[in-house]
Amino acid sequence: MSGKLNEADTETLEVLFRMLSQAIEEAGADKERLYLAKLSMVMASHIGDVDVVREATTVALQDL
Amino acid sequence: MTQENPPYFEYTHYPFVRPPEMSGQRETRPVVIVGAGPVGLTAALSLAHFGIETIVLEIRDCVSDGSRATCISRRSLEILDHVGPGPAITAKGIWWYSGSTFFRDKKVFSLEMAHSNTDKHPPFLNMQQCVFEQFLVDACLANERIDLRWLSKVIDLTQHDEAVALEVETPEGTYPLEAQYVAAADGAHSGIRQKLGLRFEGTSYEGRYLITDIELETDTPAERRVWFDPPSNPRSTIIMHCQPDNIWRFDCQLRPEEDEQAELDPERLIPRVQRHLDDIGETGAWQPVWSSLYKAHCLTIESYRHNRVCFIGDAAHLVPIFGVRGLNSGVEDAFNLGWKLAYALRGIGSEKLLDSFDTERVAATHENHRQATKSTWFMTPPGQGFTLMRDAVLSLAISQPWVRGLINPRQAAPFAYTDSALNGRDQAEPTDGMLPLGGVLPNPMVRLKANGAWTDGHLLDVTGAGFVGLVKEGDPSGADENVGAIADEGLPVRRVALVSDESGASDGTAVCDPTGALGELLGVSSGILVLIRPDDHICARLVRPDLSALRNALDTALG
Repeated sequence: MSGKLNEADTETLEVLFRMLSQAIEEAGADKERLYLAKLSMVMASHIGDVDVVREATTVALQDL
Repeated sequence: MTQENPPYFEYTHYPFVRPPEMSGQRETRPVVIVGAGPVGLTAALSLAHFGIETIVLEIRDCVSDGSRATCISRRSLEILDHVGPGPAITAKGIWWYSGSTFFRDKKVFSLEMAHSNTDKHPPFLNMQQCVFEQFLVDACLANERIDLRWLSKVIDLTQHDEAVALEVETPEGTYPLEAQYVAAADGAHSGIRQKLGLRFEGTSYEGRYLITDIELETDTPAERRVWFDPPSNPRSTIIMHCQPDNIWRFDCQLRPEEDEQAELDPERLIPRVQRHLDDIGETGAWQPVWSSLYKAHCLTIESYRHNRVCFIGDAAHLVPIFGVRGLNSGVEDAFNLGWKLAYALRGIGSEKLLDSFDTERVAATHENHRQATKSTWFMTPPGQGFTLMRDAVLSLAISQPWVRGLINPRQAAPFAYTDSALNGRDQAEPTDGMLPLGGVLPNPMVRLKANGAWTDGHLLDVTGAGFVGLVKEGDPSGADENVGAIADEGLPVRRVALVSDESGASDGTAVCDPTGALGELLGVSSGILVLIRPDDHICARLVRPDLSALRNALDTALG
């Protein structure tokens, strides 16, 4: 996938991994689906580029 | 089958021998080491290497049960070469260089560790802990500076101004023992730590692992293999490692609903392993030979020096097994303490060396915890959010290379004491890739000159029980001669010259560096002297040092 994640170093990925994991922990098991959907919407709106978001949705659909 | 001695190893049971203290001898010993595990035994061998006699007290009458800490790092092997049993251990263990990580039925990550066929040691070597310990025991028994006392338990400890008083319980009664210093290497449940009222602080993880040794005939190459959510054991993680003599180590994460005692039962354990062996195409006959349970902990006491008692290994800190930082950090603790305690006792260095043992090794633990915590998020995710994100990363990793860095097992690497109080000045022009002060020397194959003859060897063959002053041969600055001059004053430093070709070496020890790569890595160029500690860490880089600059750097490095 193109975009900023390609350039992210492992240390940045580790920070992101921990932040997202802890946020999902905080949402709790029964609300994690709703939380992740809301988070996707917020992030998509921050990205603001339909093509980039479309590519991200395609990448994430692989190997489910 | 659990917690018993495995049948693949022939145990020697050592008798209790009445020590002279039980016949009334009252002599203050320099050092008593409590615990004859891998760390306590390495401490005894290290102290012997640096000229100090020790008594080692061990509750058991033999080495420990089973494979436990099965993976030995290159740095540990280098230390064991210095203190004795390294070559025998290196010859016996399984060398490995790579790893594979699978998610469900797909490979998502390959680990490749840099190595060359001229290396003296592999990046990592596997050997059951009991086999490893026996090599150390044999080396200790053959060493006249070490008095290894089996079936001996410390039941009381009191610190005085000049010494530590111990009470030792044996099958034939108790006796008092006095030492100038005590090294507590009595493991995770350290009685000495409890006696001093010191508490572990940090994080314990809930995830449990079932660990099993199996005897299996196979030609599968040795590497670290990890399966997340494998079809054979859904929602679990499995790690497999090759050990000597057809023994394979099989670690399997238990699911939260599984009862650990029930899963240890061969009725449950055998089918669990069988399903996995079927899945990965292992068809050879096999049998389980030892098993145990494991939980990950990131715990440490705040300080490793408490006046005359120093803590090393699991007695000081617990590190998760993922990344193999437990035993290996303990071996580094033991060697670090070994030279400093010896130098303090021999009056070559000050007692402040022991404070530097504390700060250097506490810093190493913090780094080990930092790295191991990230591995633990993957190996035993601490909650539903971490589990979900872990699975998301693994699923992405099938198609997305950029995410694979998160799956790296972050194997142990030697820790650089960059903030050490023993470091002097670094006056070299810094370049990319130059070893920082506090870093440990590498060990490439080199041509070495000793006793007038050139031979093939490795760089760490030139470091011994003292400091080394590494200089460029024929250095016009005088640094070269000055090392010789302070050595003549009785300071514990030897000159080693780096030469570009073998014909250029004068008398004394020399290392040939035909490409100049070694000089560049260490920062040795014309006019520069690099001072190397007895534990192979570099501690100063000086430009054209005169006698007083050299003495200052050594004073700093000696506490």
